[in-house]
Amino acid sequence: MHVSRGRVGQAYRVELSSLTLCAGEAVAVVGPSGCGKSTLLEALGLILKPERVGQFQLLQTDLTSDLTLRAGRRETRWARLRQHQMGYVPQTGGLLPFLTVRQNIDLPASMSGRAIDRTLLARLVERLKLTDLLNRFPRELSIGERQRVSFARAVAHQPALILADEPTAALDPNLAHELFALIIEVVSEFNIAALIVTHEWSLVAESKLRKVVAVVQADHRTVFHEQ
Amino acid sequence: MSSDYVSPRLSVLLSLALRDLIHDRKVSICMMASVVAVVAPLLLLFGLKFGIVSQMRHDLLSDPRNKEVKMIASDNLDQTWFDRLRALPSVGFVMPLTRALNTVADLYVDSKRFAENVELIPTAVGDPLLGEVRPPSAVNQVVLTAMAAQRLGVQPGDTVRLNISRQLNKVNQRGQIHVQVQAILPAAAFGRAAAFVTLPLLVALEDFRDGFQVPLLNAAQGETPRTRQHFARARIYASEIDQVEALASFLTSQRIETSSRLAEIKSVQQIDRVLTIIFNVIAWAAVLGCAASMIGGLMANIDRKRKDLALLRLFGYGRQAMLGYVVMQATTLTAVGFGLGCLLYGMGSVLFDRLLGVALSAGRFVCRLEPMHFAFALGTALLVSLCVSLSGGILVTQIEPAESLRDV
Repeated sequence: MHVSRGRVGQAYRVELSSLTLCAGEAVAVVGPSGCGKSTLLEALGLILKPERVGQFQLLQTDLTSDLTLRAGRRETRWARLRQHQMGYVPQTGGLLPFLTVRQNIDLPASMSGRAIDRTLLARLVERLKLTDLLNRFPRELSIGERQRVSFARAVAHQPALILADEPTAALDPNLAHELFALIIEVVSEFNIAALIVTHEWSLVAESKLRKVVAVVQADHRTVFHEQ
Repeated sequence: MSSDYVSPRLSVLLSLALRDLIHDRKVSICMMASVVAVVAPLLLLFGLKFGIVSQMRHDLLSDPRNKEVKMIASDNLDQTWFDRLRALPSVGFVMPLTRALNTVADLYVDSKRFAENVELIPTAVGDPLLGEVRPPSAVNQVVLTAMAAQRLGVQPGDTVRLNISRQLNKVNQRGQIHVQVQAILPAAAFGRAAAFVTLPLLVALEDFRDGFQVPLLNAAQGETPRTRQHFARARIYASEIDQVEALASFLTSQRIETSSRLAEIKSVQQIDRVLTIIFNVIAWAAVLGCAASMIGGLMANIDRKRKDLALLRLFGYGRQAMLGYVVMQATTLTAVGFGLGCLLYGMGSVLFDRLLGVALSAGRFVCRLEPMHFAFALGTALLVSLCVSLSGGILVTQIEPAESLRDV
């Protein structure tokens, strides 16, 4: 997959030769700041159109042609795919301030008119220690709690893939460590594939995660490959 | 993977839009207040204009004499002239009239109850002066005004003697007829002592004075009268207040001098026109100001909430849906603001009626609006808010889902 960003002439390019994620497995994307990790994540998350794509498959369905649709149709198709098959955990925030924790977590499912699986939700809320926070508003939560809610929301509608962009960057080391471990556990427990952008090498090494590593080239180009 | 994924629900979007407004209540109240600040004064202003003008029109309409076009001088009017006049759309009622001196008579009940020189007015069905009262249907029936009936001390059904005198061959003669009081016209409708009679009776009275023999009045002397073809004058009423001018100018074109209350009618129309212009200028300035402040508020809101809105895009709402989000918010704020504005109008109009309405009799209003006016005002408010949110909301369609993930 080739992704290009920026103006023609000054654009920098991001390349990924090949990556396969299994359900229940978290894979880390690591590399220095500004190397294009987020760009890669956006392309895989159906937000940014790749320049070239060999093959893109999600849950045994080939979506290669969906990635290169014409602008108008692509936008609608991608929006539906994001709505049903993707979960996102932004770097900070990402919670709607006017919804309670429970409403925030329910949002992706209720948008599709689906009843959320209550037992699954109860288990998820308990694992992420959110039981007492369900009726609070995001502004009443600590940053660590907000990130846990954000993650719970990404999981609750049971997408195929979760994309997390430095979910622990805003936390102090202990909390970061705890959340990272939780993410890996929950992803495995709920059988969802996850791609986590991070620059916390130690956490990745400790968790023995598979890694996609960035190699910055001289000509405004970053090549990602699995290590 | 199925391609029949459902679209994101608009009902969820609506509830998000409303929760957003409630959560962000400080700004919501500000924007609502800008609607109230325009709706309430404009309703009050229009209510005053409508109340004052309709009161003035009501006063004009309630007095049928305002529709009258009086002939000043006597003329020689034939049947063709009357037919032509009756055919005019501006004419409501026409009745031939004898020479001025011949339209009085004396009424007697007994030596104590009599009225001299009572005005006689020819009438027929459709006479604006009679209003709901039925006109006399036979030559020996009359409708008395309240003042005449009071002087004579009579009730409907009573009989009155109508006396008239003449000099024929230097001999004083008296004619008389017994007439039945068919009805009594309330004092508010006609203030002087008068009797409404049929045209044949009035013609008979004039014939008597002119020296002809009139069996109706027991006057056997004199020549046999010719069949009446010409009349000196006419009672003429316009069909509507607004038609008085057309009718008067038609009569002027016939070289007939007239007098009417055209000046009063025109001054009401003039006041209406001036007030309408004033209201329109103020309304346009206020609505434009409110629209500008709402566009500004919406755009600032979109800027402020960019990340939240981008998140909704990320979760699958399209550009049109996001525009819908802004439209729903603006519509809600406008509708609630309009409701509050109406409430303020209600209080203001009560205040106006209390403070300014002292001089008016009961049941009259200084400030008044019809349900239709509220409906029109609401429609306009919603239309303006739709235009405002569509133009200000264009910004929201430029928000990309990626903005939710990146910290800029």
